[in-house]
Amino acid sequence: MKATISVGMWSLKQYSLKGTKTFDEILETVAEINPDKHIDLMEDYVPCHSQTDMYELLQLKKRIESFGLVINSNWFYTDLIGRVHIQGFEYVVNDLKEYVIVVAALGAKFMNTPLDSALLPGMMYEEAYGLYIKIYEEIIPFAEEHNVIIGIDTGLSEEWCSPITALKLVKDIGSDYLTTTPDFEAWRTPTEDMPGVFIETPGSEEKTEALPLDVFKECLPYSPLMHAKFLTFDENGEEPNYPIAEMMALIKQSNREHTFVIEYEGWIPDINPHLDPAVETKKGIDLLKRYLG
Amino acid sequence: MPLGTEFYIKEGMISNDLRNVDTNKDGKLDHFYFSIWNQKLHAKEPLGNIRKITLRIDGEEIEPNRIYFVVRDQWFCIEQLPSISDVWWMLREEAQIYVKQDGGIKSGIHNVEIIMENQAFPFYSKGIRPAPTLNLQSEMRTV
Amino acid sequence: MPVGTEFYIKEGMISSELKNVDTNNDGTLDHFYFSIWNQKLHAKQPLGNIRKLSLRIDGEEIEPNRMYFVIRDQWICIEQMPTIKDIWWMLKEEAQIYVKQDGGIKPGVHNVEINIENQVLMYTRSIDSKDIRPRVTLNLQSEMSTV
Repeated sequence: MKATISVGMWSLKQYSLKGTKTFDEILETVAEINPDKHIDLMEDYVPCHSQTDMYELLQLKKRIESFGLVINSNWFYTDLIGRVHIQGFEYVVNDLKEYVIVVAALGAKFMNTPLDSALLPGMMYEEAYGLYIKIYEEIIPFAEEHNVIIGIDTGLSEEWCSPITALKLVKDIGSDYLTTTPDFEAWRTPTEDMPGVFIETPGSEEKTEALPLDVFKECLPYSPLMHAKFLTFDENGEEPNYPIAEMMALIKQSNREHTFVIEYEGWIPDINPHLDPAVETKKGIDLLKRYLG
Repeated sequence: MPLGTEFYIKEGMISNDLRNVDTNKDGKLDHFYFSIWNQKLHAKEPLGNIRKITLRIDGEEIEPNRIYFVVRDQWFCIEQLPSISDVWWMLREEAQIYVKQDGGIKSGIHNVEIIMENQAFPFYSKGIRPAPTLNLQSEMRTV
Repeated sequence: MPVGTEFYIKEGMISSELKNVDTNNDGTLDHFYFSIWNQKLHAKQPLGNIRKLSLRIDGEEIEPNRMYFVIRDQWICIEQMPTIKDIWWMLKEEAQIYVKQDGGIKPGVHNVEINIENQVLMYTRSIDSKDIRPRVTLNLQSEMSTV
């Protein structure tokens, strides 16, 4: 089983928010701490709003590559259900197609689109599911044309927003260009110190359970990309919030190649904003290397 | 670089109707508006190229702080319009000129005159280029 | 989907100075302003996702029709800001909140309180004009000195 590690910009975003490192300094940090030299981008760092600036985009690619880095993927959040409701289906499809072009222009292999788009009041699972099928039926041939693999990313474990739904979508569409991107968060059991509340769903019911590991195992054949979410590390460099040993054991039995995008999240105000994100992200890299060899 | 002096196709550039609306849905009319289409020969431009808009209704000038330029449902105060570089008005795209007025405008036909000073160049030029003036008049009926 | 309840890094999000300005260069001060930086965890957004912005100076609420959100030198009236989808506020980008006031604000230290109700709909190329998603409220206070 071949494994590659990529560092998600989310892991080091605190530097940008606090202005403590420039973008170039962050790139230098990624190059230093990740021997695999892969990086995962997200919208805040890509010139694609309100419209895509092609010149700046190509300059961005050159800049990242000048640090010896490979752009593995780009994460693009779009509230698919919300946007269809507010503006219309064709707008969502056009946005996603544009993002495919952006990913292709960056030379990246993967585009992540989260499933985290809550059902509207009165909306049933089947209606949302049907909408997503319709969207992906439009997008996947386009993604294939541009050789961009889409990963449906989710770390929630509700009925709708979960890797179970992502897996169902992937199986129903049945294309190599639509895959699941399981986020370790879906397998975290909330505790008193680390509860199951999320900032983008204020007022929602608190998550109390993790998904079963069987679901993780079932996702693996469809998951070239995974989000290795890390929150804290103990004195032995282990991540106590997830069943890491069990998850890694399943991964080692996997027949396919996987890329792990590290999303160290402990820097957020709710967890350990005083810790150095680069140091903690490196712990995540070391953990994966230790388990995966 | 077209020859001549006419920068616009003026015919059909503004509507014939003035519409009263209740924008905050409190049961009372609070604005009226008419439509305007971008028929500039080199059309597409940032809103900030519209350096000044003056509006007269039945000969009376409307105070700028009551006027809004609305494009794609985005409201811009007329006084601040010359600062807008990120929002563009496309070829033949419809926009609306809204006027804030309690009770709307009274029924009937009104003489509407709009004067626009617009930058000649199709990029955001912050007032460093000439700004030809467009004057449009229409007898508009309230609907 | 970060865990927790904090949507922003609040520290350093607003400046500690109030600046008086003469915006029309007629020799009279007519506005004052302070700076604000986009430190939302998922930062980039159209201005219209700021559904409501209210400001108190020394406990007194400022009328919305005297307030402007200024970004990249573009002045947006606060009351109309929820309609704006084509102008985006980028990660850690500085904007200014201007208040129209003849003579500016008097010298000294002033208590400034800003409340922002922001849609959680992130990165999507729409504004939540139908308010279908929840909002989060940000409250920031600072003692600002006039300069």
